[in-house]
Amino acid sequence: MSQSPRPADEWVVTLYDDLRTLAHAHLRRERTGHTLSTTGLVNEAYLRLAQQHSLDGLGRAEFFSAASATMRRVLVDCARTRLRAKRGGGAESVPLEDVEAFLSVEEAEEFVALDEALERLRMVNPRGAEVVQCRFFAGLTLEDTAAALGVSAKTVQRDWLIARAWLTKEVAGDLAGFSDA
Amino acid sequence: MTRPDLNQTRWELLERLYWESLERSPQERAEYFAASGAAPDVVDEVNAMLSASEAGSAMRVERRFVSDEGPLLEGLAPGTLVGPYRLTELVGRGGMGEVYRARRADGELDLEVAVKLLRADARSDTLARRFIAERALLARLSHPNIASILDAGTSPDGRPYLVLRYVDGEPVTQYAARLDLTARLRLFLKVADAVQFAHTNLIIHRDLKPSNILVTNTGEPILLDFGIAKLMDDTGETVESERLLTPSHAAPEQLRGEPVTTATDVYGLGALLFEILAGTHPFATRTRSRSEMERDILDAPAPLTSAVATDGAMRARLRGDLDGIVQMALRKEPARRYSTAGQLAGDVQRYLAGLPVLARPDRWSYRAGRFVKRNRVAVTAAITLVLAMGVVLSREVVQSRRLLAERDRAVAEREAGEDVLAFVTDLFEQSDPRVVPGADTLRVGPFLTRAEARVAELKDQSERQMRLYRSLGNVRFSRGDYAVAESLLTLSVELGQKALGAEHLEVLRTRQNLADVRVDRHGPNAATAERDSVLRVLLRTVGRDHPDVSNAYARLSAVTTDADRARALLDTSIALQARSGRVDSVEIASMLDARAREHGTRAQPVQAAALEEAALRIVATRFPAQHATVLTVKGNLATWLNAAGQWERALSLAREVLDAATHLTTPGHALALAYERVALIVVNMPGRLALADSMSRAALRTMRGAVAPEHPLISSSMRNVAIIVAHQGRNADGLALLDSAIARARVSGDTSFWRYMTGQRVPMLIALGRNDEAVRSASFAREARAGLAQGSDRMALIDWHSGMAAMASGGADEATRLFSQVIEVDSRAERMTLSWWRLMMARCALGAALTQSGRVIEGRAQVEASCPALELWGRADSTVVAWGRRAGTGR
Repeated sequence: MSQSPRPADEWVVTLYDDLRTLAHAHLRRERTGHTLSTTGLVNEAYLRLAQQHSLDGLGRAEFFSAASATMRRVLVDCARTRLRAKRGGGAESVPLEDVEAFLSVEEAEEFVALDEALERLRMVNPRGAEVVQCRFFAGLTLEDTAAALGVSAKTVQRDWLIARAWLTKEVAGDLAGFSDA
Repeated sequence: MTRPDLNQTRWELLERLYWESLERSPQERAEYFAASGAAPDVVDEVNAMLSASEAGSAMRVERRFVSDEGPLLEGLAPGTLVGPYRLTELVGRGGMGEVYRARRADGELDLEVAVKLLRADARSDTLARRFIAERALLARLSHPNIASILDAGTSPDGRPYLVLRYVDGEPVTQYAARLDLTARLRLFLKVADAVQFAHTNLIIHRDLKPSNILVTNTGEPILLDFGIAKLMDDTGETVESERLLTPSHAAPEQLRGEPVTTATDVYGLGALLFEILAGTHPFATRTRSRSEMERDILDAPAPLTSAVATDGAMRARLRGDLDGIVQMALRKEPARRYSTAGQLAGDVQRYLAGLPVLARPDRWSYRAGRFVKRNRVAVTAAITLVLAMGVVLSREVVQSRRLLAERDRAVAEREAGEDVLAFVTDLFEQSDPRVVPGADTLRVGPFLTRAEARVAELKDQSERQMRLYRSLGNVRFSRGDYAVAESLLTLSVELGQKALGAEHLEVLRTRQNLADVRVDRHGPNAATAERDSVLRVLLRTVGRDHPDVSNAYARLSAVTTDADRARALLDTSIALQARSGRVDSVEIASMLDARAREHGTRAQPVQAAALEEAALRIVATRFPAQHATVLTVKGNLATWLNAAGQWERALSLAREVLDAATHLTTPGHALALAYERVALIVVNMPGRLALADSMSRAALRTMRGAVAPEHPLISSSMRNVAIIVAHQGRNADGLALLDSAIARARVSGDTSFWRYMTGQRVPMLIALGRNDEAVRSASFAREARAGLAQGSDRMALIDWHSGMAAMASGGADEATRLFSQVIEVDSRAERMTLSWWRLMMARCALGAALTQSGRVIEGRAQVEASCPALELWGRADSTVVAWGRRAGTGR
């Protein structure tokens, strides 16, 4: 990050727009009507990001990598909120009614299972886990993922295929009643 | 249950097993796992991963959050460039890949095409191989009713792609339902003809079904998807993957796993004809499950079309002949069907003409026997030709053996005389490397002589003679036997004019072939009038929208010397072609080649090279590497690269062409051009003058043996030798040679050309101190200037010679003016090496001229900026370098 520093507010504008696009990509297939507001999601993601990084000189690739991690947290938090709500939970960072409209219980369960499986995958195949994170949680295409991670699209495709196969199997197994070892 | 512990070792094992088994069948996987010795829980885990891969998006959240296009098959966004094609939209997905609608984006040809990309996840070589096989198969097929391949390449993300004609149409059965019986049959005949054409090219489609045959809004059926087509080979063996077949449309032998032959496509055509006539698939009516349908296809007799059709009037017309034709095509045993698509089509034609059809099951052999008796003479002559051809070809065209066997069988079955004739014509064309890629023409010579004698005996059959002479003439032409080709084609034209009339399309086509020969033998001017006349007749008789018309415009453009008119003709051709939607890869390549030539003559070699490169890619997918067309295009590319100053690459291409040309049986023309090209490239390269000399002499020697003496190539070839000789300092010898070249050019009557050549005397005359003569030659050459395009290469050279002459005779002001003009043209040309050197020469000469007219400071600046570079290059005109030195040092 050795580029000359740029005014922080300019970064804020850029990141905000980028994240908004990102959020729209996520919610594109949203049931119409009352949903978790994309602006809320963007704000959420941005605030988390801003706490963790100095944004001066942050490149687009790094941003997407960081944003996908952030979005993952946002969504998994939503999912946990949803599951707690099902069980009757406490105070939440995201308005509950939005989350209920946004995620079904089954989806929330999948998210949590996926999140955990992804951590297990990261231990043995960190790049594959990173690819999945970009694809799933930042909605990046193969090409964008390749650019963000600095590898070829072919590599991303290969990583994606096997990681996805393994994760799908893990998630299916979890939901069918595997217990954590 | 507990989850197995995932560690690095286990992951690597999972990865290896997963990739190794992904493309295998379940059976093969089981065997592979057993052989791998992997633990059962590992195998279970891999199997679970494989099912997860194959199930599509199993996770809800994946369906919801990962890209609209589906997780596995990443669609390319509209606007993406694949080669020169810009994708418009995704129109379909199949087992092998995605199909996009697209347009050419380079602005050279406005064409709508379909781009078929190999699936992004097709990691396995099996699919890629199949894809490339389709590409190779399609490359052989150019037929108006086949969605032929136009181009091929590799996408930015490394996937192979095919470019096909884009067909916007509806399934053939749906379209046919609106037609009356006759129109339905005519539609079917076009499909059968396309299939027969594929068979002639040794390709079996294997998956003929209504959804693979679309009818365009002009009513043309187009055969699509040769994805599982098969090339007939010596063994007839083929790896057939059952999953890829469409079971409801499979032939019995395909379900039985038996070899697939042309009879399989006859069955497919029979089922199609059934469906076109009766409105439903022969085995669809009473079938519920897939296994029941398969059983019916294998065992149940096909119903009669007349029994299935719903329309009463239609039923009455189907009863009898048409029922019989369909039944014969749908027989369970391949050997008892029509043996070719052409036979089936023949019967439909006979039905339409009110003639007795051959397909009356019980009376078949009797009828066929009678037919042969009636046509005994023709059949015997034709069979003799087939056999003679067979003997020659079986040694030469290995790929054709199987088809020949099938044809021999057809002959043995005493087929109709017309069909045999068609076979013979096809066989002739099989020794034509332009029709059958890879057909080696070695040893065909003696056969051709015999065949020509035989054809001469076919008196009273002038139509047949006409066609056979045309085929033979074209074969001779492609072998470089110009004189024989010219006389055979002339004979064919004369016969055709008598038998069919002067304005018959076939006669006009033969006249175009004859013009092709004349261009190569006598030069472009020998064909201009002929092509112009053919075009006029075509416009009057068939109208602008006929495919032959756009072709005729392009052909006329190629022999038109006036650059603007040639361009206009080419534009018309391309516009007509693009509008018609009928495009063929070779025609596209030839249009690109023509466009390249146009840029080349306008001193835009870089653009020319880019276009020629595109043309080369197309012809390289269509023909084998040694094919004359590939060599021509490659040679042209070398020429543009040379002009663009990319000498090393130009030279390596030119050498490839030369190598290939020396191996031709009758090399002639092509070899001469290849020598010449190498000479013209190395002459620009420092220290290679001796090579340039020997190459240019070889070119002249070869050219003399290949073309008629008055051909302009002979004089230009002599001129090249002359200039190279002069470059070596032997100006007197060079001048003598140049003068005899000029004398020849004068005989050929192209005034502009010999005036221009006279200008090339100037540097030699100046070097010999004959300055007055140089001035006269230069002013004589300037007369040719008027007819040339402003800013053209030739015009710049005429100015250059005039400037040199002026400078040598003391006219420094005039020289200044002329050199400035040259500089203007050369600086406008793309700044590539060769034009850069020419620019340097012009600046050096201009500097000398300025100095001489007293503008010393300006002059020296020009000289200092150019002369040292020229001395380093070592290939600049020595007179110019001497002027520069004098001006620079003030001596």
